[in-house]
Amino acid sequence: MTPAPAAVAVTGVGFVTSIGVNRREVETSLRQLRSGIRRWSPAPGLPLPVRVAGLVQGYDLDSVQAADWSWPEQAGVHEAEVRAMPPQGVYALAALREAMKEAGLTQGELGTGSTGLFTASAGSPRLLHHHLGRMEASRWRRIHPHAVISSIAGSLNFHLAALLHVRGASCGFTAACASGSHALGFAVDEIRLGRQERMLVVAAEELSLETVIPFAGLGALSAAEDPARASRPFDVLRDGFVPTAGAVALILESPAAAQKRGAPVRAWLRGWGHSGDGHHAVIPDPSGDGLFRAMHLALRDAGLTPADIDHVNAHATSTPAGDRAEAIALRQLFSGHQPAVSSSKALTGHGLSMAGLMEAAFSVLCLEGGFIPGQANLEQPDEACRGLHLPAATLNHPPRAIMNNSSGFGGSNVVHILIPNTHTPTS
Amino acid sequence: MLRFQESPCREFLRELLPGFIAYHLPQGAAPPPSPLTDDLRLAQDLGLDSLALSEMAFKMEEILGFTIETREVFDLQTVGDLITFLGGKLALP
Repeated sequence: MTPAPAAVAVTGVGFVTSIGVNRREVETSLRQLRSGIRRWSPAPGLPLPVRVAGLVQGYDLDSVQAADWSWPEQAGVHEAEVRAMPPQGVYALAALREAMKEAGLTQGELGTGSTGLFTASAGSPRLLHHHLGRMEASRWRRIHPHAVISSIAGSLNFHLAALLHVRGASCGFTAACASGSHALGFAVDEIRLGRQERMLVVAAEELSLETVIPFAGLGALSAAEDPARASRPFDVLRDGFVPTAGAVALILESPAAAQKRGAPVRAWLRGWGHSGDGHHAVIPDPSGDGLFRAMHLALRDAGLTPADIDHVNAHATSTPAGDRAEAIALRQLFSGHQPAVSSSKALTGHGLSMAGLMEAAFSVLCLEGGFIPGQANLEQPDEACRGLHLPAATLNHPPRAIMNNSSGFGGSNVVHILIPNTHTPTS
Repeated sequence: MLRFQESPCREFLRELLPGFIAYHLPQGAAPPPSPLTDDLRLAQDLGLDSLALSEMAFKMEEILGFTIETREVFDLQTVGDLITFLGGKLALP
């Protein structure tokens, strides 16, 4: 049997999420199943098809004018740094700086060419809408110089790379709700291939009408009014996803680079895999075959078997079709040994392109803290979940390995395998 | 700004300019020197790059109510050029 490729060290994580804006808050929320979903009224008085969202506390980035934005002082973000960024650039910079601080990395260490940056973000539909409206009103004569760079999908990547003087590999990923997961997976490979010794991986999304409401046209949004119970992955009463925003950052390093710096290893990225459904632009293959193959590939890459997995952070967004397909795929993969399956989107909402990276970072906290979050809001599991272990309460059980699933439009499936820092790398 | 809008003249324009330039300087650029003399070069001495100049042009249009083509601003070399340009656009005394 071919030995599994080397594991990659996670040396820092940073969070700006609806369930917390630092690792302590996030870990507490995950352990106690504390929801970050609140009432959301971005256009008071209008009958919007969504009434709740996962809201980041302490940040106000609603204005189309960057000069009006505000954020907590401890975020360490300066106005001049983010003036031309999309709103989620503020979240991203705060999360990345937290992750760098945790990893003991200084900005001066990023410019050697051996550190790269991969990002995921949908850009800012809100600012794009705003700028296009102004351009049209001026008969396409007046064009704000930030119109492009504050709104397109790659904006996060080029702003952060320039601001932090990152001179290694730098690019953004767009695969809908699997984007952040792709960024993380390919960052692992970048290190394994020896192209980089360190990768910054950042995913961020804004929360706005322009970002969220288009999903109503697909019937993908929850119409629930009770924030605490709106997002209910795997439950028969689920009726769509609850949106959220924020940012997450991970610092990945080769074992040698982490050791050389004396950096604390939080967890290991042991392997990953990805696949396509080849089925439909929106609807997942109901057989779950695409996700099944991605899980199989990730396990093979990690040199592990299904019996080694103690927890699955499921993609399950609380949509009927997606959750069902994932449940079927999980049942197919896990026979006999049943890992604890839960989707943290019940607490956070669905972070779209940042979801997979956010959940990988949650998995790091679970491995460090020795716990497995329960499945919040699960009262009556869908029939498709029969045989799966969906614990209602958090388990104080240190997982040996965690599988982190993500799927995006077009059946783009990504799976990561993370293991605790007690593991000794083989190469 | 209100004073300038009520009674526009080159003297007030000169008073407003340092703050306006400072706001649009790229991240990491040093604050503009004081006083802001006419011979200072916008790019080399003050650090205003083309993006900052474009943003300034857009903001000037918005605040001062006249039309500027972005490339007109790119042709300006010094603080003196900028004051002359704006004064001309506004037909200031």
